[in-house]
Amino acid sequence: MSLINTGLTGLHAAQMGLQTAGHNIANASTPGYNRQQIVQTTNVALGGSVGMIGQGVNVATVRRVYDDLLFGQGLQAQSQSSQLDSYYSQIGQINNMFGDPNSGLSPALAGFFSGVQDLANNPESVPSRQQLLNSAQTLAARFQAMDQRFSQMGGDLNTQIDNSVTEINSLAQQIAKLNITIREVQGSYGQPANDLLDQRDSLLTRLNQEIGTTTIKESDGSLSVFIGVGQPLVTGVQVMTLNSTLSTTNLTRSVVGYVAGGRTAVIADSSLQGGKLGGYIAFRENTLDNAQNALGRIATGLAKTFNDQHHLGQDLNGAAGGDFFNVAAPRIIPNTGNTSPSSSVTASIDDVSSLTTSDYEFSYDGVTYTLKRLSDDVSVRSTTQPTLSSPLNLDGISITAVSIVARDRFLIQPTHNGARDFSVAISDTAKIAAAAPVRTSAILSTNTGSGVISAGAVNSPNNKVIVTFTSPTAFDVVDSTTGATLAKDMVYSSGSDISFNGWTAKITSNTSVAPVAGNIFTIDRGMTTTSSTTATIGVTTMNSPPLDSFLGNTVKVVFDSASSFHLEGTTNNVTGSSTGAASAAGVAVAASLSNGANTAGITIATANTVVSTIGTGGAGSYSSNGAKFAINGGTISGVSGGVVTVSGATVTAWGGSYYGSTTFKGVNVTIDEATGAISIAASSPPNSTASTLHNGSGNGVTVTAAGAVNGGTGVISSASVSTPATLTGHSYQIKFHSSTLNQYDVIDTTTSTTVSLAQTYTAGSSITFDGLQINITGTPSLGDTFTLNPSHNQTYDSNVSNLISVNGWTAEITGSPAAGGSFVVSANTGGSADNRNALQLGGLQTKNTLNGSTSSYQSTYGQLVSQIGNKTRELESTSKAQASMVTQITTAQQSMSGVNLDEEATSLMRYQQAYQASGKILQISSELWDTLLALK
Amino acid sequence: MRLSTNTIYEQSLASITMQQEILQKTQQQLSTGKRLLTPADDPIAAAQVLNISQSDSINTQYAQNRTNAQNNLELSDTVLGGISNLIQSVRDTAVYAGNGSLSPSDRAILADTVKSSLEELIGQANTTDSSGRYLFSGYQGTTKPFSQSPSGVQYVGDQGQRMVQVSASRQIALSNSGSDIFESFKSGNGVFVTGPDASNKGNGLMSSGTVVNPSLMTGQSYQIEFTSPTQYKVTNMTTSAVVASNQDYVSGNAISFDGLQLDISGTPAYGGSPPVGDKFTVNPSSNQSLFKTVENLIAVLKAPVITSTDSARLSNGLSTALQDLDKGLDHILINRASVGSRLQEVDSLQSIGSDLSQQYQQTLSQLQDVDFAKAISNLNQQQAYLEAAQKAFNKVSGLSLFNYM
Repeated sequence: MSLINTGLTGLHAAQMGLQTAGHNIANASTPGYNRQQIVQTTNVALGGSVGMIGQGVNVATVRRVYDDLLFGQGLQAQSQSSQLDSYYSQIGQINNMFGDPNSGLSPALAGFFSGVQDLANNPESVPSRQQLLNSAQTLAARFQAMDQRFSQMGGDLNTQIDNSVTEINSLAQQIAKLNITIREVQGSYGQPANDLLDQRDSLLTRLNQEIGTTTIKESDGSLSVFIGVGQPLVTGVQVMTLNSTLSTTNLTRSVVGYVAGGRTAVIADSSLQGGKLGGYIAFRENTLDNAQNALGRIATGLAKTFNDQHHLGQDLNGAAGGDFFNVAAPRIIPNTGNTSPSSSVTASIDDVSSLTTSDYEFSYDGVTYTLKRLSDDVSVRSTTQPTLSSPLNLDGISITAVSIVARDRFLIQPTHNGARDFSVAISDTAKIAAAAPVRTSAILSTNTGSGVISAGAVNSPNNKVIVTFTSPTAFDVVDSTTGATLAKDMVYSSGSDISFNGWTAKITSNTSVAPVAGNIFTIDRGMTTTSSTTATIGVTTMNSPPLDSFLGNTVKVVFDSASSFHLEGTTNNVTGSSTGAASAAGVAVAASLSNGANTAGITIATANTVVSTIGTGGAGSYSSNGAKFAINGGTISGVSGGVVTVSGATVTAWGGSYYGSTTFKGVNVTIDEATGAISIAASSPPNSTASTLHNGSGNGVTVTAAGAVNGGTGVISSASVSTPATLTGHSYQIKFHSSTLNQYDVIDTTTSTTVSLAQTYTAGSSITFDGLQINITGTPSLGDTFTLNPSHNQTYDSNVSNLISVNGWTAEITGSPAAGGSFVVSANTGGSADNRNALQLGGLQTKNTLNGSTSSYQSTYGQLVSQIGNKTRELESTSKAQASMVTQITTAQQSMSGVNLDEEATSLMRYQQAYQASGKILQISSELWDTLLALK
Repeated sequence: MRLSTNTIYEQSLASITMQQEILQKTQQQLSTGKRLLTPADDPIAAAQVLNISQSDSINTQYAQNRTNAQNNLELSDTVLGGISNLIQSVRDTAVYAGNGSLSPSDRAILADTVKSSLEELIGQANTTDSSGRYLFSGYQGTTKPFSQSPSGVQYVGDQGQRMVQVSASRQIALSNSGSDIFESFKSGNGVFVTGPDASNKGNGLMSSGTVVNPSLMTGQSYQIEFTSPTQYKVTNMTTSAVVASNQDYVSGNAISFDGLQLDISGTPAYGGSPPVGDKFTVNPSSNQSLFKTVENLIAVLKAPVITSTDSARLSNGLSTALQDLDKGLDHILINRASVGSRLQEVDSLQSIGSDLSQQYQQTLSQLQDVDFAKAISNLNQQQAYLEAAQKAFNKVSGLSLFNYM
């Protein structure tokens, strides 16, 4: 009987072998199928005296030819590959957009600047102006179209993320279901559920194409799947659901959340790695946002720098240039979790050259206000809520906030909307500012020398200006961009406005302690800084238009000699003097008008004879030829020696009060700060031609004058410098004794000290003191006086730069002007053919205005294109490499587990033969039985 | 190694797909003529292409600007040429007018001739360019720069100079202002100007004088006044100081003081009650207008000549006019030379510009254009590879044990 049993087991085993081979052949192309093999073992032999008799074969199990390690590697490689593929296919779209020469930014940019050049060639031509506006529109449309493409891609990404999340959820469900089945099947049969395991592996592979996972095999055969940084997706039979939701920081984008306990917890973008989802998120984080910001930065930078220059020009109507482009405002998105409904943040762009392509976050933790650059988490902090006067500044943007409460957060995107909101602000061709608002000329009738004045340029409010205190009460102002001195010896008064180049700011002493000599205040692109510990400088406010309010006022540069000049006209900074070529001897050209109200300033008109009026009048107001002197509540105590002395009064000139001593309108006003005494006298010789900005007279160092009512015939010479080192810059009086003839004292009226007493007068002989030398000729009477005052003239030297900068413009005089020569800077009325501003605008095309002033618009765009190109190229090669990695692992895995049809054909033949042979065993066994039966 | 049947198919398919991809790219390069199809093909070259394209377009723009400048400067040159011819003819008339045999009516005819020259001169000075802008009005493109008024020809433009960007680093002046061309040459001998006082009674003629010692020159005004029929004194009018007094007068002899030298010839008058002597002045040169010069000449020609004083005035007037016309002509010629040198510069920049353009095109071509020979050879090679892969697949896929069962 045992033989027939043995045969039967063989038959049975062969049959199962055939069936398995058939199953393999049938599933040869089923995805995820692993070939199966039967595992045959011998049956337990029966023992006997003759030995162990074999009892045939049995099939222990059907084995799946499978390698865990290879499968795991395959999954990981697949997930990586999917991520790279989806990233590559997304970035490829941008790459193609930049690759197309017609859809890129470059042609529109070149077209626009070609329009600007055309305008420079024909500044008053309406067709040229229209052409410029058209090309500006084209540029704006290109910026907008490119930005729209980016935004569209952002929107598409949201949809794709939604789809991906749906797919992940569905796959997770299926895996969980299979887990149940596999557990049941394996539990009840004790055998591996090969095909179900294959199915589950196949689902896992698909899941990894969506997102990277890690897995743990449980002892009951079920599989747990985790995503991100260990968030469970499937645990045995439990499924967690993912959810795509709108970001709380930015409502325009989908993020992936994890639903747990009825609430959605957002999974950080950075922990979603692998698969298509990882690819989408990496693309959005690393490329799309950056590209859109980078394009926005070019648009904002172009609009702002172009506007800045346009503001310095003058349009066809003679008005100051307005905005040429509309500049996008920084985008501010409050976090949806913010609790205070009234909290808000405003951001403004001060310096486009410092802009980055990053986004920023403003937050408050209850103690500290933080502005953080999101690209690298660099931040600035403040413990007080940032306000207009003390904003938080980072990378050229400044932030102010109101009503912020703890845990409020704001996303700030300075450049995100730059390209979207870039548009042309003007439609009237006449409003293009091609001309400059000032022009210069030489007065032909008086200019006999070879001096030439430059065309003059308007100072930009962006110029860096440095205010240096020379003493606690006086400061110099230098435009360090042009190198011109804007003002010298301005009198400091805490809290009063200073106004240059189109802006106004205040320097204020913290504690009644004045700034000390050497303190420096810097104003750069609207940002102010100081080295002072006792004084602060407030924020600058721009004039509107951002030009000096006195810009168009006519200013005359008059040469008193070939080496000295003064300015005549009206300025907002009365004591502003004008040149880097200040007296070689280093003489302080101290003016001591303190201008209380900058905006009103002092206006000085033409010649006057105010002396006699004031000298004989009483308390009250005096006016002469447009100059007003109001003497408030004072008494005039009498006329003595040609000097009118007023006690306890204030001299007011057009809104400002003046202390100290100065000369204007041919009148010398001296106010003693200690006693309040005011003396008014004619400056001698009376400044008969015009009054001046710098009270110009004398030799550029000192003004000498005879007392107005001197009784004698004494004539004072002009002063010369005998010893530059001992010059003081003070005022002096030479006073002849009232009782003794030919005796005089020299008094330093600045310090009220006597320099020398009771000197004997000899007509024509030198009088020398404090580095100055003069002589007096003629016969002075008893009590006659002669004064020496510091001159506010500037020395002129053709060998050095002679920049003159007042009222917000800068011009330079070169050559050799002769005495009496004069130049005029005035408003450029009717300058329709003037193209100076157009040339400046055209120059912006190649100027390095962006990226820390290292790149032009075009080269910044070039960098963006090359960045995208590089990243695309990198992804192209890494995704190829990853794909070949997947191929290798798949090949290895298939080499082990894949079905080879030839092999199965062999198996078929083998098991067929085994079946036939086992059949023979049965036949033989039957024949043996027949033999026994025949014996009966 | 064991191979699964799937692997055989997939690998064959993958290699065929890859070959097709490469072939398609080469085909695209050939059909567009560009090596760079997208920035990813060569990111650095792509950025360079953008930058060089911009430089090229700027260069093209500058070339246009230069053509513009050339047209304008050539026009200026022509006008200035015409003006110098005009001055020349006025000068000829002035020389001719010095002929003592001319009658007052002859001089009146000459005055009319000069008058019409003045009209022509004003016309030339008001020339407009091709786009209707006045050539010599400074920034006031639409303002007619010179107009006649009762007080003479007035300049109503400004002193602005229109510039044009002719290369990256060079702006060139397109125009000179009318006041610069017509109103700012130095009168007299260029340093000082001499002349008889209008009230002179005698027939003294004064030469234009020369500088003999520049270091002694003061740049101040002087007056030579006759204090007797044979003596004169020199006063510095600026300082009121008497420079020399009681000097003996000899007609035609040099008179020198403070670094300058001149002479007076003829017979200056001294007489009357109280006696008044003829006066001659020396003033620093000032800016003179060409129109004023011609107007003065007309006035001199029209003035009646009856006495010897009148003829002295005529001679003095003609000599001043000739001197000023010469200075004016010099000034126009200097301006014309400056226009010429600007034209020359523009020409040379133009040729540099076209060289640059060629270089840009060449670089662009090197960066982005396809090498056709190489690409076609690549195409053939890749085609061969693809065909081989397809054939191999065909062969391999035909092999199966099942064929023999």
